Amino acid sequence: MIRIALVGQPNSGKSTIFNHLVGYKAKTSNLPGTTVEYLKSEALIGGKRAEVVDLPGIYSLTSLDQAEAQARNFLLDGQIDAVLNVVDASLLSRSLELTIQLTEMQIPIVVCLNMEDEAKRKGITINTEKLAERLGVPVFSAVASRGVGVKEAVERAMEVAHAKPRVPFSTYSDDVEKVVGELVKELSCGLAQQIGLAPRLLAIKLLDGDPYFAEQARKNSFELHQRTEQLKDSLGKIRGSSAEDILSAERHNLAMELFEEVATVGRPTVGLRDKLDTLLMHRVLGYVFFAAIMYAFFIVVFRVGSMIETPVMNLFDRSIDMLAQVIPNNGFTFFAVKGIIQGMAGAIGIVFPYLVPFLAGLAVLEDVGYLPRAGYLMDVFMHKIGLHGKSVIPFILGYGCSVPAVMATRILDSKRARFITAALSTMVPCVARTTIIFGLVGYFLGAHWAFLLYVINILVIAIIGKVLTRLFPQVTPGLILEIPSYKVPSIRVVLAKVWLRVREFIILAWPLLIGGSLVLSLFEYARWDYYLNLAFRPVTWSLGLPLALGVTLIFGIFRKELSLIMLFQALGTTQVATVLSAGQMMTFTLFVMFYIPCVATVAVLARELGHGKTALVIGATTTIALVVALLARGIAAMIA
Amino acid sequence: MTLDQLQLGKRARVIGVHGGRGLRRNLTQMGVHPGDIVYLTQGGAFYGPVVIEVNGSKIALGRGVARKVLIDPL
Ligand SMILES: Nc1nc2c(ncn2[C@@H]2O[C@H](COP(=O)(O)OP(=O)(O)OP(=O)(O)O)[C@@H](O)[C@H]2O)c(=O)[nH]1
Ligand SMILES: [Mg+2]
Repeated sequence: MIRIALVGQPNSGKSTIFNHLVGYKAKTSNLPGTTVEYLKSEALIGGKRAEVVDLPGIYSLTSLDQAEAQARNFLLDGQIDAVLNVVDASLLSRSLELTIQLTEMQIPIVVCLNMEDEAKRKGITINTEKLAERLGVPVFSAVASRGVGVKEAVERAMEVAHAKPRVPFSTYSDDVEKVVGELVKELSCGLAQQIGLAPRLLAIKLLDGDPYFAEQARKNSFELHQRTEQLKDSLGKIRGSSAEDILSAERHNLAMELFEEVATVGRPTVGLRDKLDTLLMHRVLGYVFFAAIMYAFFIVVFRVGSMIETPVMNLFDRSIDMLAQVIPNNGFTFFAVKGIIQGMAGAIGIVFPYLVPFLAGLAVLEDVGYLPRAGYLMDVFMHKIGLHGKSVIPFILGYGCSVPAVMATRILDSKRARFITAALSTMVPCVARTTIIFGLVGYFLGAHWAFLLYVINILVIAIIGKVLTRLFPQVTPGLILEIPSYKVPSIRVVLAKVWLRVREFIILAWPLLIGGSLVLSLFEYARWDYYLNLAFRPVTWSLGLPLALGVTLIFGIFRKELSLIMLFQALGTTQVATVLSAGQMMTFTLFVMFYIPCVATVAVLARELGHGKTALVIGATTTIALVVALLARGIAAMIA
Repeated sequence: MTLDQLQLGKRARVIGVHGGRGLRRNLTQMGVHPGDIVYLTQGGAFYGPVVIEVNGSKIALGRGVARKVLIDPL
């Protein structure tokens, strides 16, 4: 089967095109570095079946962070038949540098000038025919978010994948070409063939000082390594600079020349979007807006959620009462049916009302392009805990779910930053824990108590961050983060994105939530819950919580929402305020907020960080949860 | 002069990057090359990062990074 790879700089719209071809499967957002892992899918293109691969964005062919490295490796040895080079047309001059490098790979290529609407707004008009002629490869314009032009571009990619035309490459200045030519001669029947790479590309990569290929060359033969160094030196001497800088400057010049030839820059349309940053990224107002946006976000989610929670829960409460009248309330069937109803009540009545508005809100923030701005604003504070602004992005994603948050740490540049950010992001209350915060504390004690919990959470994370930086001291590399232009979110994309998560929730979480409730109900019937509660007694006792809550904490490890659904079950009432004091609710919720990440998160942590570090995270979070909850108990006792 | 000293709203030409290979490569591939004109759109509070516009894109640079970019104000 033909395999087509979507390659381009971060945030150029690769995943949007992928989704247009195969249905909404890849997450998209207005943030460079959204895709951190490749995704393959079959698609029908022009009546023929093909495999399309969505890759993480790359600025150049030199791998840097882990996500980029994966894209590059796939590109170089993924047996690709054609490349669809997705370019952000509003950033054409910069993007052409990657396009030039891609043509050097000698793989059939089609260029897709995406975001034509954005380019137009900036006043940039591109002559696609001329660009196609100059590059010697097909070029198409597109607006992927509206599905315009995508079909033509991929169908053409299919054609070139079959026809395999020779791909012309751009030539550098004579002195550089001479050195490249010398090295190509050395490589043609040796290393290049061995690793299946175009000799010209390999030569340029070696002169570029690419660590991966330099290692390959050294392993291949010492002479080759020496010859490379010799040629690098001679090139450097001619121009009085390093070979790498010379090549980069050459590519830049080529790209600029091309750009000037094919594009005309007119008057940009200045709108609200261009003025927005003077407020949202302002040195003082920016922080005010940040706090206001976050606060408004939580209040809206809470209000919408609790508005729906009440009637739905009443409905389920009534059906359990009715059930007791229909069948004897001490038999096996009663407990089984009751468990299922309670599970469904929890999943539909408590989790759903908060989950959906939360996901919709986050999707809008992501698509507008606020996340990189938040990274910029928070950079200063992140430096205080030994990280930089990019780490804010996994943290914010962590409010949605810890799994993508841990995955997103792949965009960070150092191993140490990855570990610290991943560990801290598991303590950010995900939407499941938000359900508990809102559904318990918010619902029974009021929204401001719930908000207080978030503030405490941030403080604890900051303190732990500080401790971790002390334990693993190292100079923090500086922030380099592209700030994409604001985009108007499309309702269709936001809905598709929310649905992707909601569907996953229905398929993966519902069985667990309903099954969990059923199991607990049957345990109650057999009176086994007592033993489970006893096993967790040291924790519940030291926190001053009722014995019955032990089992909810055990099941919470599977799915955090279970802790809340089971709480109602274990206490035998949805009127929690009659059995738990305010202090107990706060203590319980704080413990749940921090203790052991859920199994899905533990699995992804183990994959991304290794078993040792995962064990460390589990141990540390449990300790932190105990300490924080104990403090809360103490403070509650003092107030009371 | 270095980029962190540039005044808000002022333009400058990049002369070079005073840093390791990784940093130079990082900046060039995002479109900051010697000879390019940059425009400082935001200077963060609390000695935080700066935002520059270069070749049509916006890039946030931490203070430490900005301090390594040599410029010639225009
Ligand atoms: N205005 C406009 N926005 C677009 C267009 N294509 C994509 N977008 C938006 O641009 C943003 C980035 O799109 P993605 O598809 O996530 O980009 P990507 O190339 O996969 O990005 P990475 O995974 O980070 O490399 C999203 O918010 C899209 O909705 C377009 O043609 N016009
Ligand atoms: Mg993507």
